[in-house]
Amino acid sequence: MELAVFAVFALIAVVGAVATISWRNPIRSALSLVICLFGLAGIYVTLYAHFLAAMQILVYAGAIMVLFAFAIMMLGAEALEREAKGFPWLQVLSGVVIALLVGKFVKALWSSPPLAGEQALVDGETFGTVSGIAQVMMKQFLLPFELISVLLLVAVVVAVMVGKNRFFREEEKR
Amino acid sequence: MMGVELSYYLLLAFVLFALGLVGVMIRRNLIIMLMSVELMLNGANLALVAYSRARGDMDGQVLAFFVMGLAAAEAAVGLALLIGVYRHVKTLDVDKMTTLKG
Repeated sequence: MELAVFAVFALIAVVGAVATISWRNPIRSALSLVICLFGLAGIYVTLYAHFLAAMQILVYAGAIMVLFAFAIMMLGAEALEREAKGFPWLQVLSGVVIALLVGKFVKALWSSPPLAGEQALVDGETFGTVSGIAQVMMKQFLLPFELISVLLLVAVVVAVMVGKNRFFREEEKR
Repeated sequence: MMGVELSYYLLLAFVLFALGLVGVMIRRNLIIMLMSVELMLNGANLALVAYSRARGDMDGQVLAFFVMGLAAAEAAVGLALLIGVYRHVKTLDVDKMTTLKG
């Protein structure tokens, strides 16, 4: 049963990922990526990361992908132009990089520990829930948490400044 | 009755990361390259959450939240830059952005 649930969601995620990188139309890619992220949210539930699964759908499949959809719609049909064939050596290079990664990955698999038993999960019933996450995030990881909020503020300011088109228009005047 | 082992999750995480990497390397459309980067971040996130489950503590999940925040910032800045670049060079094909080429 557990394996069946995992297999179904893993299949959804992988099919979505393959579709994302193979559609020519970016809006189809974006929707495929949403499917992939939904599959991953299901995988997170099987890992007892319930709050993370909810956030995956709200923040990733919701907010971030809406941002992508907005950008694609703003650029309109021009974003759909036929793309030339990439350099063949890049495809070879990507194969080589993947092969190198497989080496590292096999090493990680070899030393992968068994899953902790359900009763062995720290805090038992709060594992992966909002209160459990908050305990760790607000105590152990308070500084990174605050730094992430600063990072988001900087990102908002940068996005607004770049979006105002000032830098690029000055470039065109010259 | 077969259970799910940590290695299954790691395999899935690796497949997602590899697909994202292939997408960045072989696609030429900037939007799709950005989406492939999101795919790679998600693969890394899955590995973090899987190890968090295996070790039985929530540090990995909290790190995954931080990665999500990072991904949101990356998407906002990346798409703003992408639109600026598009206004400037009128294309999203990275092979046609040859202003710096001698």
